[in-house]
Amino acid sequence: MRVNRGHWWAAICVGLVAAALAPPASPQAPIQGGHFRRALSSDPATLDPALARLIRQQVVMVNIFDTLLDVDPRTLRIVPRAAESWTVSPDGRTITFRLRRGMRFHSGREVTADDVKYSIERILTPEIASPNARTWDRLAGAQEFIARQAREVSGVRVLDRYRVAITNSVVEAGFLLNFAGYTGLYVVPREDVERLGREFGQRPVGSGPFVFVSWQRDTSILLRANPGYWAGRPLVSALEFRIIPDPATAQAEFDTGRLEFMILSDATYRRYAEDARWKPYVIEVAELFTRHVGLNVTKPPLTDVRVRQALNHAVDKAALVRTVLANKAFAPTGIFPPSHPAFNRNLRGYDYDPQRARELLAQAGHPTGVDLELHGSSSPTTGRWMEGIQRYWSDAGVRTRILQQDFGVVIDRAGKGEIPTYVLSWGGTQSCVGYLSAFRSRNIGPAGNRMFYKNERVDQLLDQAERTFNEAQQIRLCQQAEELIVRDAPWFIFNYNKAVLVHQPNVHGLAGNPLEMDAQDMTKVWIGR
Amino acid sequence: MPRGLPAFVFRRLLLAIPVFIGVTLVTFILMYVVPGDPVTALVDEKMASTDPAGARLFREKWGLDAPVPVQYLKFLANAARGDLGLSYRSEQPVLESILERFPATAALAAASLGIAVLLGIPLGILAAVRQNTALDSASIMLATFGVSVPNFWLGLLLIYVIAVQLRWLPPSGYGPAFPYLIMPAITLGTGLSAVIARLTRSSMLEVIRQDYVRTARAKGLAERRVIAGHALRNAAIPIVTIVGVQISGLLSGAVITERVFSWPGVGRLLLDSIGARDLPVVQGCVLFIATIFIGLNLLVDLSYAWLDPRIRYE
Repeated sequence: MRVNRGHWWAAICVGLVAAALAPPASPQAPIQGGHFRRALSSDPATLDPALARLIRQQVVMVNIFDTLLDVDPRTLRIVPRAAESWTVSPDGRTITFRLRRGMRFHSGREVTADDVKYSIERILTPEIASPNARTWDRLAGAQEFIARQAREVSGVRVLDRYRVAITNSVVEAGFLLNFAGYTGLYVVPREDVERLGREFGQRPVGSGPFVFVSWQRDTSILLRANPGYWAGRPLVSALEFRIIPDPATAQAEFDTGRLEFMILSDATYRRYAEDARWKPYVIEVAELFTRHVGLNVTKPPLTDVRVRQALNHAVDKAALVRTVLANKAFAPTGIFPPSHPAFNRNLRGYDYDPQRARELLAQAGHPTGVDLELHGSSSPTTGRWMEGIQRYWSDAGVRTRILQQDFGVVIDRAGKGEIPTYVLSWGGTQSCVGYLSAFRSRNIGPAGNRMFYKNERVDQLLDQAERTFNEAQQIRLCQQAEELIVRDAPWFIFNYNKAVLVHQPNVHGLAGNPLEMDAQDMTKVWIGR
Repeated sequence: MPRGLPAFVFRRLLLAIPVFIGVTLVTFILMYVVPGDPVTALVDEKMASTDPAGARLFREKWGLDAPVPVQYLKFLANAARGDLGLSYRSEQPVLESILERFPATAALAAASLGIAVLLGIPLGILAAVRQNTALDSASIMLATFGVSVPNFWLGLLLIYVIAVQLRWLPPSGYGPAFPYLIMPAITLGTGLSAVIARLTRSSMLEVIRQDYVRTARAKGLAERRVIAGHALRNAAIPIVTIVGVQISGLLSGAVITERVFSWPGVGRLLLDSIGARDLPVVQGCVLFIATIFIGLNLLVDLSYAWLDPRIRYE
């Protein structure tokens, strides 16, 4: 058959129609393999779960060990991990976990309920002096064990090979969180702990998705994928934590492709978030932390609530977020950030109203203003915040003197009630009761309530919330407490941080985690071509 | 062996004992005087809450419940046996932690000093023999620049230009000398070479005006031999002194350079330990650094007699 011009045009039309109707090219499928490199700002010193409680330790340990439960970063809900299911007793004091069968430690032995009991009792062993002991010292029988009056913690009972029942001596709605996520209980193997002794923290053995390989002090920690992991072998073959103390150097390492992702700071946020090349690879989320200035309500002039309210009205927080923080934060309303389950979108907080601030000061007997010291850590970032706040407070008649010291010193002095104000970031938990624990009168002092704030109604509401296991009810009680707290203004609430990371274009699977951006689920991460 | 040498060495070693006691005592007192409780720092990182019972157990475990003088005497007694204790943070032997990091410190010190000496001494000699010429002015300017520029600025500049823009070297890390040691060594060596150059110049200027140098020239010796064989050797004592002090400083750990280049040296260990109130590691590092200073100063003093035979040890 002779092909004429008409045939060619027909063929072209058919081709165009076919192309228009064709499904889009499918995204790249996850690829197995690759060496994933990420940074730590300093050496963890130890990876023994009984001795470690810093973030930089936990983000490593969560890859080597298993916790019983996990937290879904998208919903902040608790999900199974080493425990495939759990039940809570009607009185809320006992949780019974059922472990998955066939989970193995890296040394080969199956994980059993005995290991859970051992892991808890090890933390409570007085000779260990674990900084994590206070998480577990309210378990039934824990005090007797710590006082060496009992050989075991009676509240931790092994029911059978795969089931363990853990009983608390008090009712705590947030009890389940002690077993979940990167801050939860890590299960350790007794025989390896006893064999390695003090070395266990330097050569950890767990049941997690990655196996410890090596640790070059102050240089790097290397893990390899666990091929026998119960949830399936991780996609990346190796995970390396490179210890890079200087942020500028870490940025250089990322820019040269020697790190797969980087957490963005206030200084680096704009460069990547506003760069068209990097913007698609920036992940940001409102962190579960509230930045504030704590106001010691026992120190004049802060004894008067009107002065504290004036401090909150005097500052244009949205403007400071835009300028001083380069939009790497969210302007606040109440105590809870928007990513928190208890966030109250109806709570207005304090509008920027310098006129109102001056009126409140005058009503409180300070028509010519007041003098106030603003204490904070010696970090340059904190210094910039403090200068921004100082400017607005000064305009409203609060003559502010900035004093910066080592962070530990400031917090120590604040806990002892020596200073009238302190700059801090508070939160780190999706439990609304835990988040508001800084306002309970029983926590006055170093325990968290460094404002020395007392409100009986707030205490009552939080006591009730603590014993409530219905999530919606608990949140309502917390929100009622929050309204009272915001009205009493023991904090100048500054902002909620944006947790941000940027990753290389060929990295997939990273997610925004409001609890801790650095705590990524590495089982879901892969490196593409 | 020069007369009096054994007695001289013995005397110096004996004098080292009060120095060790002095530095450790001052460190101990400072760590307790400085605000910030080590127990709080180690037990409550986020200072979110405190645990009195846990703090009490921690103090018992590490002997922090004993009176401070007793703690200090116990430390001294153990240190005399070579036991510097365990780190509060890692529970690893302090001496082991220091010795793990010393090779990195030594490598950086050797490379930096090599650059400093190879650059500084020739520059100083040239400036001295070509005094008041353009070469002299240029070398003074370079030396001033080298002394003035901050380490961290130079280090970050090198990282930005050489690593990020040119991609010639990795930005940081610890590994084989090439490619990892070059930039940190240049960063440290530049400032040191400036100091050595200026001192060499002034020392040489004093010596080349001496009669014996004029005599050597008059005898018809080649200028190179006059400078190297006669002038430099006599100008060497202050140069050796400053090099000795610089080695001691380098071996104590160049904190800023180590931090910028993620170099795992003793300086970083000391800095991290101070921040974490890890007292045994701080004490151990201070003792280690004091030992280096004392040992190197002794070697420098011993070298004087070799450089200048007129020097005696009595």
